Amino acid sequence: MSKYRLPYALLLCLVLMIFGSLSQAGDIKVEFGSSTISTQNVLNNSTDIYDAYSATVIGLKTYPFHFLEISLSGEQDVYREVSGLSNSSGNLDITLIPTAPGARLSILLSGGISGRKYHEDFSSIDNNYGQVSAVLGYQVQPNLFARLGGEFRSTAYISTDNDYKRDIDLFAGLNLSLLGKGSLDIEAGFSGTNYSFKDAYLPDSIPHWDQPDRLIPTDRVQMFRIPETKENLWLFFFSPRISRQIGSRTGANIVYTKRIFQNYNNGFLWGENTGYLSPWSTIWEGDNISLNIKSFILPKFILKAGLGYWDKRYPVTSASEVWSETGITGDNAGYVDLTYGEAKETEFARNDFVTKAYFGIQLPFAFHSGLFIEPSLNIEYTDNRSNKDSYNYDNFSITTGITMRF
Amino acid sequence: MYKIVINFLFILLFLLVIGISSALQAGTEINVTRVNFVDYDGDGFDDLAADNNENGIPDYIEEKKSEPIVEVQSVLGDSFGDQASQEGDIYLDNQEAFGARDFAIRCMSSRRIGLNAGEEFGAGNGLGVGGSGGGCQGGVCR
Repeated sequence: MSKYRLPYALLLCLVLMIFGSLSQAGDIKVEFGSSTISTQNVLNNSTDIYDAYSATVIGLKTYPFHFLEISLSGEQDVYREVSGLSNSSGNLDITLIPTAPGARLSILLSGGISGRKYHEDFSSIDNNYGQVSAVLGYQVQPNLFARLGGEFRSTAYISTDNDYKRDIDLFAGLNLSLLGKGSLDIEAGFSGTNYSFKDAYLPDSIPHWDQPDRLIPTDRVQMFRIPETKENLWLFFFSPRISRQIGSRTGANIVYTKRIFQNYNNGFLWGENTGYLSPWSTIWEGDNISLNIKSFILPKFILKAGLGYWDKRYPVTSASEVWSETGITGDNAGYVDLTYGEAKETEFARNDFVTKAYFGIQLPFAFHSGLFIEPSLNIEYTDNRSNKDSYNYDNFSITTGITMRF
Repeated sequence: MYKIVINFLFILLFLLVIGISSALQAGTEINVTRVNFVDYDGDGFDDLAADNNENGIPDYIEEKKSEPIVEVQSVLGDSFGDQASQEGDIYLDNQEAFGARDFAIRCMSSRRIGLNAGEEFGAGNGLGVGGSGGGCQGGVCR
């Protein structure tokens, strides 16, 4: 992925030429979606900043061959209060499924590129993004389907030299149809991401005292003196899911997910791992369990509801939670003598307990002409309790929207 | 740790090569009989239940019929080559043919884990909010 801005005009012309030339041979599908979101807490922290924003997506899909889909889409997000977050993006995605339905072996190959540009207030996070993935599926038994795959993603932040993010996911899963109307799905895998951290072991260039083991500097000046280490951080994931039909019009599932850091033990991230738009906000270990229900109990409507609980433990960061909670003075000024493990126990690292609930209702209309229209309403509540005051918050949001395709 | 990952990638590459080569062998007839209940997306409903107008509501519910007791899908399958013409005979156009393939692999196209899988929790009405929704999209997270 280049550090340079995608030549959008050239890319658009190229894509339009492709679509134009292929339109005779294949089909074109148009998708449109627009939503308005009203939220009590747009930054998801203790600031409780209200915002109402809109998101509009329009996409074109073409099928030059029966095994190939090419998709071009554009998105515009407009924020009313925090206008700096307004952004637009363009995406080009290709999906290849070379195997026919019903074949024992299935192959899914996909790739895509996108560019996202923010308002000038947040232009530092303008980025180009690319991803490729490959997934294999195999029908082991009539009631057992296995899958194995990987995905690579790269993000280049255009405005910042040497600032990039590369992630890789490797996963495998099994789907087993149970007796009656039930299913068990198990998924497990590894995810890795590049990151930079300050090792808590002090280098010899910094004066030691009393032969300390590992130290967390509490002074930004000392922090700068510690060399930065670049590594890949790996997480292990495991997630079983049980789903079952209840009666003829309602279905439900229970999902559990476990995330465990594989090689993180003492470093701390440079910057904040949880701030708004932080690339580290998804980096945590812990547990999640959720219950989801889908029902057609009201004629013509699709009802969805769910309740979830998370226990998230984040890596130690160089963010304010470290600086503000230590007060070492005298000869030991600038340091606190703690290992990472001790730091976690003594609440240097952020630990969140999150409860979320949602309710959604959709009203789909499918016409004989092929036109599909679906208005929807979603309500979501989040209660986030943290050992850091900055992340003690709750949030209530209402989303209204409409999707169309033809 | 890196050895595990590299071995995993080798296995994936090997299976991919095997898969593509076997997929490219035209004329192989595969007849897979599935069971009467499959739930790949985890919504608790049978994915094989007919939904001819593709509005997300199974036809037997919309038409207020009794639930089908046994629904067996048996499809001749292969890829490229001769099979393309077979699918051309079955489906009206490429979009419909691709839709059938996409439907068949839907449990492969989404997943619950991974750094970018985010927290797939919510009503999920398909309305994308890239720069502001939960999880990560376009390299930006919150």
